[in-house]
Amino acid sequence: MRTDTELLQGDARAYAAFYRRHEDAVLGFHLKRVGSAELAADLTAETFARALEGRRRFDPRRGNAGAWLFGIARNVLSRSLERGRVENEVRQRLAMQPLELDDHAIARIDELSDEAAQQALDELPEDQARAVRGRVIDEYGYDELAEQLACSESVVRQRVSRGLRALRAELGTDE
Amino acid sequence: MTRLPELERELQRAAEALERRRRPWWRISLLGGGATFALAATAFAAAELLLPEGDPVPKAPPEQRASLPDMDPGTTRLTSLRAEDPGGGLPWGLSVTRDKAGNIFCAQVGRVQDGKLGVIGRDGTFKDDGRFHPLSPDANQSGVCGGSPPGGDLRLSHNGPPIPASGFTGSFLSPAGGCREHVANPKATMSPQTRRKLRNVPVCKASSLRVVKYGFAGRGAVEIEYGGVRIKADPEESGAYLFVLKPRKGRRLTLNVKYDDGTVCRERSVMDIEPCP
Repeated sequence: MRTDTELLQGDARAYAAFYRRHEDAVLGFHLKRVGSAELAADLTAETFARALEGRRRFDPRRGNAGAWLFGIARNVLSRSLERGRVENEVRQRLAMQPLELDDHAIARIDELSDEAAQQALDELPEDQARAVRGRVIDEYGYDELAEQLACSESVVRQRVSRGLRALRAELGTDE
Repeated sequence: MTRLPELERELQRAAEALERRRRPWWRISLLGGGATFALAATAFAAAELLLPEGDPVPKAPPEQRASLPDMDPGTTRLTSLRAEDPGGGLPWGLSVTRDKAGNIFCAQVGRVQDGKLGVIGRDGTFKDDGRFHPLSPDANQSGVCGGSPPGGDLRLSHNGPPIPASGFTGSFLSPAGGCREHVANPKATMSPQTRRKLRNVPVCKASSLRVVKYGFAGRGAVEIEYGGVRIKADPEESGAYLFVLKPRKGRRLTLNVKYDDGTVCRERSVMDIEPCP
């Protein structure tokens, strides 16, 4: 498999491969912060356009390509928030066409937030994950869960509360 | 398959165009017979970016609230006045609230989104989260209050130091955070206790500071000018004015208010107000 550096130094097809490799991560980054699939797609387009324009300046000795790309993503997001509109200067310079998203594309971007939640849930300690799944997804009562998990109701409540707090912190929804 | 195949195609196409541009001119000449390139500037729909909403600005601490008029939040009204920020983004707005006894009114400024006054999480405020945080009349945010005349013809003028573009003017030691003014020689002007307190408070970037001048010139005002910006006064809003400028060293700003009877009121500072009608 070619490295990110090789893809960035390669031809147009190599850059498309670089995009495919990092699309989900950048889309997810923006989606988490703006909460809208359309805006996340727009911000992602500008991020990759900037990376394309600046890829010859990427220096692997100063850090990996992922960190470099996320630096660009953060910069695009903060400048867009400051200006109150999604930046599009580089896309204009590169004569890129605006994105037109249909419902299917929006749904596919929105999946990313579910995937992030699922991943965060999987990373919880087993006892908390089972308590959160049982209470929030399967909608069991605390008493039923206490029986299933062979512990007291107050322990279940504590696990659910700790689990949700950890999820909120991980998903950035408690800011 | 990617989630945005259209974007992948556009990026590949743009990358190919960049490669063509980077080829030496003699190769272009041989290949395309001296082709000329015209880059079409594609019109993009400027996507309106509503900031995600965060927690409201925290309320002022009880000891501070005790010294403030007892405001009636039900009377809060965002005036129709808007001022552009020199750096772009959400416009600035001005709101008024009356106290419960109806004797006093207070004005507040901030950034406006979706008909609400608030502050932006930037310049150290709300950990720079980039969100919009709504303001309530009893929030930890400075403002200015004045007597409420029986006919409702408001007169008020606020003067203060530049504030950050976040719009937050409350205490930077509050949970909302924020930035502080640059102090040239802190050892000479601040006690060790104060310096310790401010150690972790970031200094506001000069480019983030704004001169925000606001007030009400009364219903008789016709035209109001400040720092070279002129607005038409609206009698329905008691001649409300709001100017947001970048501070400039050595610039002396004067507020000029022209009234419908021909008189002009000039305010250079709080201590220098010519008689107004």
